[in-house]
Amino acid sequence: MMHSDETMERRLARFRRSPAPPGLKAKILGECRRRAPENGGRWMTPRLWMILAAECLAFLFLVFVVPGRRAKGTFAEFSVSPEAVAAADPLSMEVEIIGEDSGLSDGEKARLARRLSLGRAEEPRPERPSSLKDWEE
Amino acid sequence: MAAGSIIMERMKDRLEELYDRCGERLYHYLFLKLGSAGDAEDVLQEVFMRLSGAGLRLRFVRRLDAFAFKIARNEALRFLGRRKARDVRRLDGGLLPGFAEAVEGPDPAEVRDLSTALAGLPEAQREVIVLRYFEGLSFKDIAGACGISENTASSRCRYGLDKLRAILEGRHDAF
Repeated sequence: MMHSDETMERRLARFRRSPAPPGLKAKILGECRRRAPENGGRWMTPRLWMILAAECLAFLFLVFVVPGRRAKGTFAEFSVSPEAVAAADPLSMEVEIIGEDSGLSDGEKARLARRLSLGRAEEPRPERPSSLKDWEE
Repeated sequence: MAAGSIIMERMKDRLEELYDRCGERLYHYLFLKLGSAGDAEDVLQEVFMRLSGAGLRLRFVRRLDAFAFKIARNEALRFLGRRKARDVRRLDGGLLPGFAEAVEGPDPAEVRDLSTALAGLPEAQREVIVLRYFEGLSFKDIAGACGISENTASSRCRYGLDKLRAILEGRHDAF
């Protein structure tokens, strides 16, 4: 007879599972072993193969496709620092680029740069030392 | 030995460990859920076939008990769906079929009373109480096995216990 002062949990704790029939473990596991070769002994299920393939594709996409798309047209921004660009003489860079294409020698490039600099009035000229002297005087 | 064979051997060891860990509890749970020892054995076989089919994924399962009970629950529901036997449980004179064989108590009359009281609970509450007090699962594992939140599992258990107490006390008052 159950006592009224017992909590329900204690009441339930008085009940136990009946033991499983003897030999059930051997039966269940034996059947698993017997049927495993029927499944081709597969440890990778088709679903797992699909997940693996999708992960490989995602990896390839991240490694090859994404960096390529991001680098397109903006590579120079990443390879040359802003300070280096500011410090570079635009005219020299221009001559360097023209010289690369036309196959000019270094001497010819220098001459070309000199001529071009003479022809560009809007280019700010470096102040000559003589003008500094004038100011000092 | 081929890599596949080594993996298969390890899988068998793993299955054996898994059976030692929760095989009997799964059988008992299925017995209570299906009401028949034969059906419980059949479904338990399917559960272990599915566990062996899970392969290497078993290694990465964090809460193995919850995982195994979830598979057992799904297989039991599938079985009941196939047999369309959801209502068979209440045909045995208001008792849970198979309960007297699946559970041992201090007194056969108490087992019968408890069986009747459990049969009077909603299925969801009864399931949580069985998993909690007969199979020894934590609320976290129950939540994982039944696909509900931990709070829901806890409240179902509390409501179930209240109702069980009311049924049992009413019965004893009647006596």
